[in-house]
Amino acid sequence: MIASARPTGRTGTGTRATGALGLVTLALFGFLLVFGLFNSPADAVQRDSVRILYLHVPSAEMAYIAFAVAAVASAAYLWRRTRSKAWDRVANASVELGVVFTGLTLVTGMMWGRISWGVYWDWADTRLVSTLLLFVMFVGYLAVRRLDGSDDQRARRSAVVALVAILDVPLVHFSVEWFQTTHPKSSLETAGAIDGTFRFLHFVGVVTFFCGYLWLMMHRNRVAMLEERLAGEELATAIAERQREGVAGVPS
Amino acid sequence: MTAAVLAYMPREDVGMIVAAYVIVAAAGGALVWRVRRRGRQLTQRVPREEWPWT
Repeated sequence: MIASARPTGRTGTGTRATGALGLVTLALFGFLLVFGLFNSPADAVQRDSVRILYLHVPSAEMAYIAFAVAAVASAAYLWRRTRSKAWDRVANASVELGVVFTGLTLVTGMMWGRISWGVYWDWADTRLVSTLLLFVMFVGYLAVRRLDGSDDQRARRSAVVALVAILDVPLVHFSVEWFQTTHPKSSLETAGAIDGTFRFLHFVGVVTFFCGYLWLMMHRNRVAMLEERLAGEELATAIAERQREGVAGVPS
Repeated sequence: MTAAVLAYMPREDVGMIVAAYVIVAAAGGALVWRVRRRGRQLTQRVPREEWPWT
């Protein structure tokens, strides 16, 4: 939790710290939008389709980070010494955001593919299919969380799913090295493959998406804390009512 | 994308690029709206001094 967090005077999960972070995120996205769409020059090879990559690459990287955070939090929950509901909350929030980032990666990638390859999708491409698999597995995680059971059962089940699903991340990342794919190899890791503008806008994109991720994680965690507290109160009230009914129903 | 770029690029490609930005902005906006609305609903049911993050 942020030490300088103070309520803003309204209802809601916002504080001054999250308010400032939200404004920074908004300003950075505005910059990315204007610079990515209008000010940056077209790439020598990819022409104007490179503008989609200013969104596609950072969203893919943020999906990796979100799922890695979820996997670490899930492992911490499964380990008895560190077991805490806080880890489960972090894992759930991070998977929710990771699924959105993966969805955006797939959609923006398909749009880029339509311009560059002439098709939206190629089922023979390992990068595309493994990314879709990653998306489906973490949607499965969210489905598993909604199955019946105690809080602990649900948390343990979903933690196992997260630890299995995270194994797909290395496959997604290295698929362009390990297999013959239509999807291009990472230009960022190849010296001289891309110019400074792309590197700069990629950096802006990553910072923008990371700030958005942090903002959403903080709010989502606070919402989850309130939900847990209210669920506990509702359960206590229901038990008390049943006990009163039981006492009233006992013949004297 | 300047006017010159828009002139040589196929309309469909321009639409794809703009749509990518619109989709990302809409998804982010929807997430923010949803979490803020839920937060407002729940904080009304819990006394302010008991909010865990304050």
